[in-house]
Amino acid sequence: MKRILIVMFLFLIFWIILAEKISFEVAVLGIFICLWTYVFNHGFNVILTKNFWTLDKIRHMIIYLFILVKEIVIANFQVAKVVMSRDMKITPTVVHFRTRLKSDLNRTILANSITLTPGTLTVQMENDLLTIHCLQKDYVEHVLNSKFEKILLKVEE
Amino acid sequence: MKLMLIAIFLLGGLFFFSVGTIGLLRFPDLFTRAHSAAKCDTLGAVLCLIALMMHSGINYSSVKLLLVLIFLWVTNPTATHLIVKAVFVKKDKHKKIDGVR
Amino acid sequence: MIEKLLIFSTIVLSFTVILCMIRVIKGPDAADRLMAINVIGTKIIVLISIVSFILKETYFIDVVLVYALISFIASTAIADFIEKMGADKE
Repeated sequence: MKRILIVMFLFLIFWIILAEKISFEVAVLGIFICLWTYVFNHGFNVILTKNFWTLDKIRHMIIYLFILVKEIVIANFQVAKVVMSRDMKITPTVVHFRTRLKSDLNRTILANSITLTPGTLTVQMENDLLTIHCLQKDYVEHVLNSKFEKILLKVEE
Repeated sequence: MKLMLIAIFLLGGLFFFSVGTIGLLRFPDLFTRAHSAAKCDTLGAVLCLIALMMHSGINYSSVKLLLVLIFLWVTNPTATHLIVKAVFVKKDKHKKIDGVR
Repeated sequence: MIEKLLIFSTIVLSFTVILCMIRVIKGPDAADRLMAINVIGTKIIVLISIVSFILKETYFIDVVLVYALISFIASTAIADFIEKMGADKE
């Protein structure tokens, strides 16, 4: 019951943002559509597993977001420098490495944030083996002991 | 002051968009092109949308732009990953078949 | 002043879209073309949202949301197609 209420609340916020106003008919229609959506997407509620929303985890996730943005800005300028230089010194390499993360959601977050930073690109992910394509050899060390994985390990505890 | 901030963010976004396009044209193969495309998707789009959000102020349309921004950050790496994986799996098969021969 | 800036950015963005079309036409493989089209999709998303502020029509932002959804679905579908096309050839 608690799960349904949380999901309905999130869906309703989304509906009100789309509808751009709060009135009686919008709310009634919204509750109807949200129930409908909940019934159809019953199996996909990954974020609503037990003890996901503890304070400690939320704090770590916010720190994670800030580090992600910082890394992305730094990597963007590095890759921009490579693109604008006259002789592009690129040494593409492919790295395999195993993560220590257990849950599928955290692995997906790690793979997506590796792809989101320019210069590194997740090519394939099978269980815990990630295949990563790097633009330059210097990035390999960044990938192998990445800051992302350390924080996600803390989130998982 | 607000105008200056908007101009800086918008021009920064345009800079990253054009650098990404130049990279898309200059790099030699698919994987390196994907790096360049990722740059467009992340910082270029985000800086432009943040500039528009500042211009709009706090109302429903800026919240919608924030939704678009989050959606782009979640889906674009996924799409890039899928395209690259499709090619990588194909190349891998070629290698294995050559090895068998 | 702000309108001139917005119009300038739409012109620059359209120019980069045309440059991307070179890669779409030239690209040796289907995957290269799909990558370039993905980039063009992102640019169009930004372009429509800038145009909505130039014309002061806020409902264009709904168009942006739907466009983002459809472009993502199209990219995944065509990537899946490319993967299967390779499997059939062998």
